[in-house]
Amino acid sequence: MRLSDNDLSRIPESDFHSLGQDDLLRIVVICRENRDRFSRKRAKAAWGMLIAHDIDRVRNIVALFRLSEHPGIQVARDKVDDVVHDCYLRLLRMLRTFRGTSEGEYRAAMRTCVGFECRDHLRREMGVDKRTAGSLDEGASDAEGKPRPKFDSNIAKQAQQQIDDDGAMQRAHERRSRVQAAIEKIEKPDQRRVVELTFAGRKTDEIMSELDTSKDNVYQLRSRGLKDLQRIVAEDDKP
Amino acid sequence: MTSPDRLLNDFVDAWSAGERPRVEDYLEQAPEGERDELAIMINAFLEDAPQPRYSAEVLAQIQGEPAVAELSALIDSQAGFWPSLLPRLRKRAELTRDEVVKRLAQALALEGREDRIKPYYHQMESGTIDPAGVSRKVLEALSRIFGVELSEIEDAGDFAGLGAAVPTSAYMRSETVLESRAHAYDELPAAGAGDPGAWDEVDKLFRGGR
Repeated sequence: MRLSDNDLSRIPESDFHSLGQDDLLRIVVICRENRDRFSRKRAKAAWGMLIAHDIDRVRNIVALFRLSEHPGIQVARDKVDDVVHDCYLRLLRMLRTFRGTSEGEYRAAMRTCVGFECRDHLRREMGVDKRTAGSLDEGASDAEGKPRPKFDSNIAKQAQQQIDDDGAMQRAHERRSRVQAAIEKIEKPDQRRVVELTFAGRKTDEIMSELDTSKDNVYQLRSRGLKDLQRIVAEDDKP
Repeated sequence: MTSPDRLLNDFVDAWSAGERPRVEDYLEQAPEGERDELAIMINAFLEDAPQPRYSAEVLAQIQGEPAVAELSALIDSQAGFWPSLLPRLRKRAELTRDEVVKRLAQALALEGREDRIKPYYHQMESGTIDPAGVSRKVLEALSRIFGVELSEIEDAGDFAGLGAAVPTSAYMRSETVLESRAHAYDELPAAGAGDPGAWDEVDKLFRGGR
C-alpha cells in the first residue's frame, strides 16, 4: 500500500535506506517545497539515498557509454569506478535544479547527467579538452586578430555548453515519455507484453506464469522486444 | 561463448533479483561480433528497469562502496562536497597543492601572498571553511586552473547551503573522509583574524562572500 505524504513525513532519516525510489523521490518533492532547514536536510538525505540506491544503474550506464561521434571509444574498465564517483557527485548536485516529480523524470535526468560526465571524461582522455585552462600566460585572438584572454573564449564555450546541456535535459525528459510511448509501438503483442511486465519489475517465472509460456519463450520475446524498443526510440529521437 | 539473447536475460534476471550484475561480465561472454548487439539490448533494459528491492546485506554493501561512503559522509557537511571534489580535480590536473596555490596567487594578482592563500585553499580541500564565504573570483580562478565549469565548483560548495546553517566555528572535518589525508598543512597557522575590520585582501577573498 502506498504511504501517504504524512506517513512519509514521519519516517526518520535513519530509515530512509528501507524506502524505494518512488518514496524517496516523494520525500524530496515534499521537502523542497518547504524552505525550512529541517525540510532541506531531509531533502538532501532522501536525495543522497535515492542516488546511492541507483549506483548500479549508473555504473552499468557508464560501462556501456559510447561517444556518438566516436562509437568505438568507451570508458576503460579500470576507469569506470572513477567516472562513477564523478557521476555520483554530479547527480548529488542536481538536487539544486531538479524539478521533476516522478521516477521517470528522475531517470531521464540521471541518464543525461551521466552522459555529460562520461562525455567529459572521454574527451579528456582523448586530449581534446585536456588542460583547457592551459598556462595563464597563454593568449588567443578574437575574430579581428586582436589579443584576447584565452579564458574568456573558454568561458564562452562553457556558457554555450550549458545552454546545450539545458536543452539536452529537456529532451531527456521528453525522451522518457517517448520510451513509454515506444513500448506501446512494439508491434507484436506478446513481445510488447513481456517488455511491459519486465519494466514493471516482474521476474521471469512470474511472466512465464502470467503468459503461460516457457522460460525460453519469455527470453526470446524479451530480447526481440527490447531490440525493437531501442530501434523505435532511436527512430523517434532522429530530428 | 553464450548467445546475446541468453546473456541479456541472465542480466535481467540477476538485476531483478538484486544481485547487482555488472554489464562487462556479460559482454565478455558474448561472441566479439555480437557484443554491440548485447550492449544495445542491456542499455534498452536499463532505460526503464525498475529498481530492485535490495536485501539489508546488499544495501549495506552499497553503502560501503567508496564513492557512496565518501559522499554520504559529506551530504550533511557544512562544507558541501569540496573535500571530495577539489582533491579529485587537482589530481586530474596533476597539480600539487603548492602548484594550485601558486596559480591561484597569479590568477588573483596576489603573487608573493602564497603563504596567506595556502591555508585557505587547504581549508577548502579539508572542509573547514564556509563555502558561502569564498568569493566568486576565487571560484572562477579555480575553475580555470582545473579546466571545469564554474558551476561545478560553485554547486559543490553550495550544496551545504541546502541544509541547516550553522555558525562558522562549527565547521568540523569529517574524520571518516579526511583522516587519510593527514598532511603537513595541518601545522599551518590559522587563516586570517576573526575581526572583519582587520581582514586583508586575502581574507576578504576567502571569507567575505560572493
